[in-house]
Amino acid sequence: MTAISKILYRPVSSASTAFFRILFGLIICIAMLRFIFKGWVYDFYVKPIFYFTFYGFEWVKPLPEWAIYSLFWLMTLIGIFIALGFLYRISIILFFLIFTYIELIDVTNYLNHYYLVSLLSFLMIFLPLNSNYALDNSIGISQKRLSIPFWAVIALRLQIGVVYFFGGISKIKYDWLIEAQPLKIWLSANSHLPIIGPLFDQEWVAYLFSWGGMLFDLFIPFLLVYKRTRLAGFILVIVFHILTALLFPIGMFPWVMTLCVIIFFPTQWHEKVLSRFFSPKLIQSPPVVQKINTSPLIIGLLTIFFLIQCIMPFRYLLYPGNLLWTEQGYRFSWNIMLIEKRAHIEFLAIDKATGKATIILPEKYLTKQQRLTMSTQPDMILQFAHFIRDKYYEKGMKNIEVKAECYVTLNGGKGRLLINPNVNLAEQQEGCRNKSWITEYNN
Amino acid sequence: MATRNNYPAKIILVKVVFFLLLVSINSSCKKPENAALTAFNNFNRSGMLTNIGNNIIIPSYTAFTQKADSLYWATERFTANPTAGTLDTLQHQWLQANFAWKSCELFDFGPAYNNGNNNNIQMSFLVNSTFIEETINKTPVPYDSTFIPKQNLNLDIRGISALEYLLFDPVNGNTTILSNYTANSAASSQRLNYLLGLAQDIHTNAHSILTAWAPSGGNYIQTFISANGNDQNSSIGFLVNQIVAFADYIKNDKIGDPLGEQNNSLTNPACSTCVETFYSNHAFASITTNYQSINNVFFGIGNNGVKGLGFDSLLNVLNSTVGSELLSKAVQGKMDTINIEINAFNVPLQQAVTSDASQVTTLFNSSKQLLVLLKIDMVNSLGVILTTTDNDGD
Repeated sequence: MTAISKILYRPVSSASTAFFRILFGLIICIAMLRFIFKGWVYDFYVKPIFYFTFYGFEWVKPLPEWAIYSLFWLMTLIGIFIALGFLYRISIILFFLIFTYIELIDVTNYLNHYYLVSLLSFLMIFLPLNSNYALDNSIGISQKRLSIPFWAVIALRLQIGVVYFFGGISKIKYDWLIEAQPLKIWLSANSHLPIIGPLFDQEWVAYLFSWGGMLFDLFIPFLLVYKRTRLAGFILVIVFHILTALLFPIGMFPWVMTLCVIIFFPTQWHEKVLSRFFSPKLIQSPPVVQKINTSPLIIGLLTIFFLIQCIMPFRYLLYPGNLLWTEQGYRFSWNIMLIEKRAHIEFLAIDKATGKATIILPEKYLTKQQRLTMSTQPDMILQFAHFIRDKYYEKGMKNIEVKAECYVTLNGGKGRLLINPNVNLAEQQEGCRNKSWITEYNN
Repeated sequence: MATRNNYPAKIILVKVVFFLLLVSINSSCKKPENAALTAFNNFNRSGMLTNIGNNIIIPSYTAFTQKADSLYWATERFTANPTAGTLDTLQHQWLQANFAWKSCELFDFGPAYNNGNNNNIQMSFLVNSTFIEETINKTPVPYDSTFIPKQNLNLDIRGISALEYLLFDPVNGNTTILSNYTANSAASSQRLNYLLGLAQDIHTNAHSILTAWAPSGGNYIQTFISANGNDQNSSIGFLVNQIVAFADYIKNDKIGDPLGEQNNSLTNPACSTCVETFYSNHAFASITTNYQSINNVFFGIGNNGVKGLGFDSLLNVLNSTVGSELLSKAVQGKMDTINIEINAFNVPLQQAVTSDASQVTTLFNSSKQLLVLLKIDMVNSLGVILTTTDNDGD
């Protein structure tokens, strides 16, 4: 016990976490500007007339257009504040709240990496990241400290490591390893690239990437922690993320992960780099070497925080059937790039009194992005069915059945019905219980 | 410090990479070669594209261009001398041009799409008649025959659908149509000019597409044949995307909307004015021609009737099946069913949606089943990614 607490409370250079804070702030700033200028704020949070909610968060509603845009501009500004270490604590709390609110508006926009941003910003609330290289030191909001307890660095490393490690665990699946799917489909779409293009028509390349990706994800946190493999690990990180950025349309997250990994570097390294950028005066101003008192409450809270993250990826075991097919317990589990699904879906509304039926095309109510996402995910299909039910309900038609005919192919498999087309979805409950109306996936 | 660390790091890097390679190669060697990927790579995709491009697409555009020429000449003759006889000829030429276009409608990619020619010729089969009348009667607007491109006229009041509205009257017939042009008033002369302008615009756009495709012109055919991968911007990607989108469009807009299946009212009022060619009343023939063009591309059947390499050939070497049946056979079966169902109607679609609603519903369901075969099974077998969304990760 004392050995553990000795490690946790070992004083290390505060440059390390300051370095991370600066990168994180800049990334946020760029990411938010990118979101605004790509028109995504409008596409995702203004244009839709219906939003898919997270179970338990149905009360989260989108704000009017001007307010949503203001929040994105505010987050851009907060990004700069965080990088500068200006009003750090309030900035990071605000960022966590706003960003998480935005992510909770519509399930459609769920991405593992946005979830990571929420987790990271929550974690950062409890870390003394403004101990050094921060405006807060100059204006007297927080005292400048040359050293911080090691647990603050460990927490950040753990958070990044969790993503890779559980990402690796989730790749230990039949489709990924034995069929090399969906990489076979995705890589062959790159066969038009110059020079390396023809490689992607080769089957062994898909297997190389699948197995390589799995092993990379599983072992990279350990390679990065261990001093003698750290450089090799970082080179692998760069190669891996450059490849993913090149081959898949996954935006800026390869770069985000690459930058985050720098927290694994020795703390002296961060100090060396930062001291080059900042005037010596800033560094040599009288430091306080006193220990930061860490409340055991915070350590306890963070332990629970990480324990939950270790359990979440395995909750799918509580559900019958193939995880990739049913997607029950799929989100918040670091299931990254495991699925290529195509679907065709139509809803049928039936008036039980007259037996009359009408086809509902989701196109009329959903944006393209929403429609594509919904058509392969049973819980979203159910939400949309309830939306249809409620529309009729408002018109005074209270006896409506809603059924869905949904053909899906998973990872190059044959097209088949995803859900039982005879089940009245209007009657089915949302929630975490097993959805028995999802069909079984037999190979 | 740094130099001490570099040496083992390099060694370890080499070891790790080597290990990854070894594991991956081992794993791929243990499994038999994936037949589908090899078959796709070995298939003569350029041959298929050459056949589809040279024997279907270019001949279809050539035929349409000829019909558009004839349409323009007939319009010139009619506007010079509007009589029952010249009107009759003009109507006949319009029908010919319309059906020729129904064979080209599928090819909404490449220059026809990029230059907006497709939309100029027909953006929608639904006509904005009020807006057309307003535009014609706007005074003083001197319409010469080239006013349409000059004024950048709205898409819903130009093209073959607008022309149809000006040439056919399903209620009052040709006498009324003719009287609109022979009144010797400002309105009638503007109407004549508008008519000629529309015909010339169609003719110009038709030639522009054909020139862009022709080896002697823009030579898009060369680009088309050489883009033989299966990515989103390959010709196979374009064709598959179009086949799926078009089959969806026929089902939803050309059959579903008139049937009232999609108006969310549960009272299902049919919409007889929602049919294609509402004024000339040839909806079924237009739909048949549309499906015929999908059929021809799918089976590689040239406009001369000769069968060459098509998607069926590719799907057969990929051994794509639905249940125990070859996918190509299943598509053939569904195409046949649709043809039989359409031919069984004794009345035009705009009547059938009320008088034979259940028969139209059957047709609607068949068109849905065909769509699922194409959108799910065909796309899946070809491994084409139709929709990559631009976002931030997974």
